Amino acid sequence: MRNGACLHTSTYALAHVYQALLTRIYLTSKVMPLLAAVAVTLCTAMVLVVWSVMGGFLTMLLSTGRSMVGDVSITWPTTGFAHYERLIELLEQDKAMVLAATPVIETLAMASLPDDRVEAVTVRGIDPASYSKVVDFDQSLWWRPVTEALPRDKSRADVRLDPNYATDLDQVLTDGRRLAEPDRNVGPGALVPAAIPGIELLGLSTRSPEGFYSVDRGRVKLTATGDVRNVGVFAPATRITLRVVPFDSQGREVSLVPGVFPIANEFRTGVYEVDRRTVMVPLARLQQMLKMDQATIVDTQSAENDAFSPDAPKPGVRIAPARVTTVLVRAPNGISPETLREYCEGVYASFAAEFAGQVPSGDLMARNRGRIVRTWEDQNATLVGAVRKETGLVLMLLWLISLVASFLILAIFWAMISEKTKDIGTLRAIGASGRGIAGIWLAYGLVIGIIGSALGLALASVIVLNINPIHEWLGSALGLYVWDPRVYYFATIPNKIELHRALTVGLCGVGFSLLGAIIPALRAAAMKPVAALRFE
Amino acid sequence: MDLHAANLFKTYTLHRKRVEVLRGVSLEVPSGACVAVVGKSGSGKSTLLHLLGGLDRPDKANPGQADLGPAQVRAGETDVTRLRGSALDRYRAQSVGFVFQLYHLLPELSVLQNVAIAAMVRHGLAFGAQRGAQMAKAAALLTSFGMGHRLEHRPAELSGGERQRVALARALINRPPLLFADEPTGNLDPSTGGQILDLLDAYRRETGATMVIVTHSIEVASRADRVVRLVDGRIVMDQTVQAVS
Repeated sequence: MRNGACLHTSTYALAHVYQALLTRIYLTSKVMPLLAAVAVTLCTAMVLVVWSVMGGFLTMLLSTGRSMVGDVSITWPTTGFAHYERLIELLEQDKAMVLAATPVIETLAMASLPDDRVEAVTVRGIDPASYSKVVDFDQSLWWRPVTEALPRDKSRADVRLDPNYATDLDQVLTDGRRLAEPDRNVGPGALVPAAIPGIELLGLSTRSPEGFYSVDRGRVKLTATGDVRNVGVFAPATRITLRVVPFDSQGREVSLVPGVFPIANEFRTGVYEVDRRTVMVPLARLQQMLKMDQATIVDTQSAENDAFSPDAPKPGVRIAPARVTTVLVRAPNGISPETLREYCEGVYASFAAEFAGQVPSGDLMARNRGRIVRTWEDQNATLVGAVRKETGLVLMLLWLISLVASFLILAIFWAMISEKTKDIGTLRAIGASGRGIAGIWLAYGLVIGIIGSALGLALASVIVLNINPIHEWLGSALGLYVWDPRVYYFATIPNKIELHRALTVGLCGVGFSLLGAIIPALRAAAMKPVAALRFE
Repeated sequence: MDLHAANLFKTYTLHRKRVEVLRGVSLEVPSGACVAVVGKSGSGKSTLLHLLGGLDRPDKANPGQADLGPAQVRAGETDVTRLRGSALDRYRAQSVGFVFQLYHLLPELSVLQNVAIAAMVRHGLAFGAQRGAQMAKAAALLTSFGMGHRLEHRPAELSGGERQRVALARALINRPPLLFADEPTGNLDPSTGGQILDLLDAYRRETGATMVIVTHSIEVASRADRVVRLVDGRIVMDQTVQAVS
């Protein structure tokens, strides 16, 4: 007897009150509530996976913007604005607010590609040295010698790893950094301006499932046997022709100007639309093409009228300063884009006052607040807003669907309580209170919620962290490609879980489980002892 | 603890029909006495037990009996009819032991757990501090009832007599001053039923508990001090066993 009592003492380590005992017993002896836990698991996992992917997409969008265009852009499109060097000087005076600023021209162009396609593209004229300080320009250059393979490139098939190509790739990288190639027609030391298109534009490099780009097509070639084959063409060995339309300072179209550029390298941001439709060229060359470089303007009218009069005033000559359409600004870490935007607006007001009449005024800036001095989020407000709304809507729908788990628990507990009616009567007869009876079922619901949520978080973690390999397996095994980079902006699916999201979803899983247990618990508590004992 | 019941009426509504189960029952049970309540099925025996044990409430108004006083159940100094909520629960946990005809053991718990749970309910969170002593007490009680070798078994693995022993141990673990048994031997053979009655008698002698037993059996009734007969919800006879004999 004594041994029997000792045997059972350890069984009651948690059973200080009868609710804990019965909760534990019911949890381990009943199968149906475990199915309810599975429902909680699946709902928790579903919500967290969707929130992580959609929320991660938004996070990627906002953080990628910073790496592509800095934190704030000051823009006056088409005609651009002058004296930008002075604006940059004023901006960079406060190093606590501004890490660096760079001038850029952004315009549309028609691009004639090596495979004879003609595409509308965005041309960005940049000064590589200052541009690298504001955006991750150097890291975006794709063709370079590398020693470490990409994580999924187990067979090290990436051509950039091949030591035989290291020297050539090194040259290509150097050319990319300076946006210029050696001009072999002129001689040693001479450089010719070059272009860097996005890696998805030319179509000469195709992305492998492992993440690297292979050169396997580009030009149709007739072989000696008469077959037609697609042979690889390395993009930096080709040329691109860009045709732009310059506008004068009054916004009047001048003429279509072509420019032929050798391709120095290709860049990759991971944002498909940017990689598909953007070409970078040297700022100075693009200014020339767009007639936005510094020019001497002669007032020919007065010169003609008074050509032979010694007392006539001299012809008017003035210097039209160079213009850019955009100045990109980057803040040190810790300064939010919104704070930087306010700072830039203030600096611009001083700049506009200094060059009154020559640059868009501060009033104009104020009237167009949010349209000229803009953060990346401002520039993509429609997209960002749509993604936020979509995320919110989908999450709301998923939470509603998660109520199904609550109702499942309600149904299961309701059935269990009907089955346990006599037991409830017995417990009331020996002095258990209605509240105590309710506590059994609430504790039961709580435990099911905790178990279900924990398993759901674990399942979601496994899915999210491996979502890209899973997606690729679905594609290769079942032909099911859900994430099309052409639609979803990025080449990879977001695969990070934020702690605050996991905690929120986990707690809500527990909450929904408790919600499902409340009504059955109240029902159990309200049962009259005699009616319960007599229940058939 | 003496037991006093006065003017107990109880009406149930079944299938939209009013059924008067008790019609003005009054009963006095001195401390330490044993009263057997006999009568046909439907005479109100179990209902009377439930009212005395605080499992149910008498009707408030006396239908058509304005000259009678209010319904009351008093156990010692406690007016049970005025108890509400947790006070009533405490009364049942501390002062009352119930034994039912169908045992009403919790099927998922072991024999030892079924007895210990009454102590858990009685002591609440304090059970934790007394866990060892309470478990030993439960085991000892079961052993004294001949169930020491079955502590880990489930109710489904026991015979009727064994289950009733466990139910009895559960009713007595907290040493209640009032014991109510509703047909405790109804499902048992005479020999086994006799053993259960012996255990009840032994407890009563040891503790001086007051007992009310509902029974159909003359043999069971004859072991009480008094017999009360109910017919159609009214007491028609209340005499000592010797007088009945």
